[in-house]
Amino acid sequence: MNNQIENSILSAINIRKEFVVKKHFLTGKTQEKVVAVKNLSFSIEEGKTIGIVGESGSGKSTTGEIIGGLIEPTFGKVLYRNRDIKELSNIDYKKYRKNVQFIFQDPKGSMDPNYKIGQIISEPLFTLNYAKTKDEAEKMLDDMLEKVGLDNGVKNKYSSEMSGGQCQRAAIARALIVKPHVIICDEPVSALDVSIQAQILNLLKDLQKEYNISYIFISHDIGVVNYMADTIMVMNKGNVVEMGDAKQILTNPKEEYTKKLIESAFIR
Amino acid sequence: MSEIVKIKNLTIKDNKENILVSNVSLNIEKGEIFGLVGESGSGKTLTAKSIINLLPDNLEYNADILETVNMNMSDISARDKRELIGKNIGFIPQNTIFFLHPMIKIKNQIADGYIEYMKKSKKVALEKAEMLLCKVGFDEPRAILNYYPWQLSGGMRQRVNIAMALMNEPKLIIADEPTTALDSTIQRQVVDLFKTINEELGISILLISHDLALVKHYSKKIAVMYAGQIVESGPANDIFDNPKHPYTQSLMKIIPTFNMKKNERLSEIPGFVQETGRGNAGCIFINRCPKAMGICSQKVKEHNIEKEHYYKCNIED
Repeated sequence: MNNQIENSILSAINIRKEFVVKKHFLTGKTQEKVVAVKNLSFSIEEGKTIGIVGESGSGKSTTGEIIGGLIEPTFGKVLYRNRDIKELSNIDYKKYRKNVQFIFQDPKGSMDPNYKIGQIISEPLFTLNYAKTKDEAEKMLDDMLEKVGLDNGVKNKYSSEMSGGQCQRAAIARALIVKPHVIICDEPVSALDVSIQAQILNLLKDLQKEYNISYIFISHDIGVVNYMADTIMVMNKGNVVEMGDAKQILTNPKEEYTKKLIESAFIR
Repeated sequence: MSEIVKIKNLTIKDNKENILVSNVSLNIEKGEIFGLVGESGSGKTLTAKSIINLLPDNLEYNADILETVNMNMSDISARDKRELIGKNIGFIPQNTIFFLHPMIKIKNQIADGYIEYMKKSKKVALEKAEMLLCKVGFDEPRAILNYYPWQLSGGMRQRVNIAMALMNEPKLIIADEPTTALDSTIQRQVVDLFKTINEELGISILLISHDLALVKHYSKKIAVMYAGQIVESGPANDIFDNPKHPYTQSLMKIIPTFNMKKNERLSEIPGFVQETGRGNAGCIFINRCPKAMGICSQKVKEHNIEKEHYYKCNIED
């Protein structure tokens, strides 16, 4: 296990997340809490994909958000290249934020409707000091649009003028433009049509080969996760039910819950 | 066999004369589950809404035949329509939370339609509701009756919706993407319930979904819609064993399966669904079709092969 963690880019060690539901109105003491993630450890290696499956409310997204640094765990720590992200210097923390990017479920909801697509995609270049001049940024933007299969003209469009599949491509471009090492994909194809779903999945796979990116692929669709992931982690009610090689888990599940999930996914 | 729904050449236009649905024909027989598959924007819901004549005001339609439960829906009076829908049609929505009123207890919502249309007392209605809630899988139906909708989970709410649809013993249930908002394990329970209802009570079900695998498991007949047209329809087994239309063929290949080999690439349909030109004489799938020919832009041939298997393509066998 130790050896595994040393080779990994990003790892979570014994993380636990509690959300306070109800506080006492005077003392501020916690009266009721929900434990979203209980004592979870895993690590991601370079160029590999880890798939997280589970029903809604099982803590998949919370896990993704913790490891991406969007929320802090109540206990436990997240290691980025073997260093605790809380102890990183300002410069190193910025690097961590650059190298760990997100793709969300609802492509339109994750984009500001008042910004043009070109602005949205090139924004991280400036905030993360990746591009120095405007021309440089423009060139990177054009390259990236071509990579994700979007026409050059979408730069001047708003997200409301584009279809769901196009928006998801733009979201992928936004995540990729700073050349990250890890992308956390939180249900990236659930809101898309089946014919578009295959396009996006193949695009993600191609980009992984080209840039050697690692993915954390969160989905409730076990078929999609099977296509994408090398390792699968099955979650239920904040616990890891089963974790291991993707093929092995799907062909030979050990736990009752995993069997139920596979069975309900309609063996096609 | 008697037909519950009979549609021939239905066309729906919006107020700018854009064609949304063109030349749709389908028949739903008594006691069968009919699956309507298609991507978003392909006109599945519009077709379902025109069955009960509930299209929005800005859309207009015309059809050679449009009959539901032996009533001609094209020139039905508002009163008859209300009666027909209240007594004979059950509706199960995609979004469970907006369908139920959040401020009214389940018992008052579930009994309302029954008291109104069947002219029964509230006591009888509640007894029946309790019985039906039992049937859809609740252990303590009496407790459920006293809850508000927001106190139930999504799967429970959907089962309440199903019980509500069953109250008046309808002849047809329209289920519009009934499981899209549910988890996969609950999804299985809900569709299994449809199957039981269909077998035990002999109610016809129009199952609208974008999930081909789900429809395959539960329907007897299937129609595949693409950009406002039915491109292929027929008995479920025929369509899955022997798909004729290129769209149906590629639809079956693009869903990731468990028996895929490592490093095998998923096949994809290039491009996206076109929004305009749905009324053109040519084939609607031409821009994305791998087998498109020159003739496809001018006309498209319709085929009727054995056992009501219908498809629309220029490619011969």
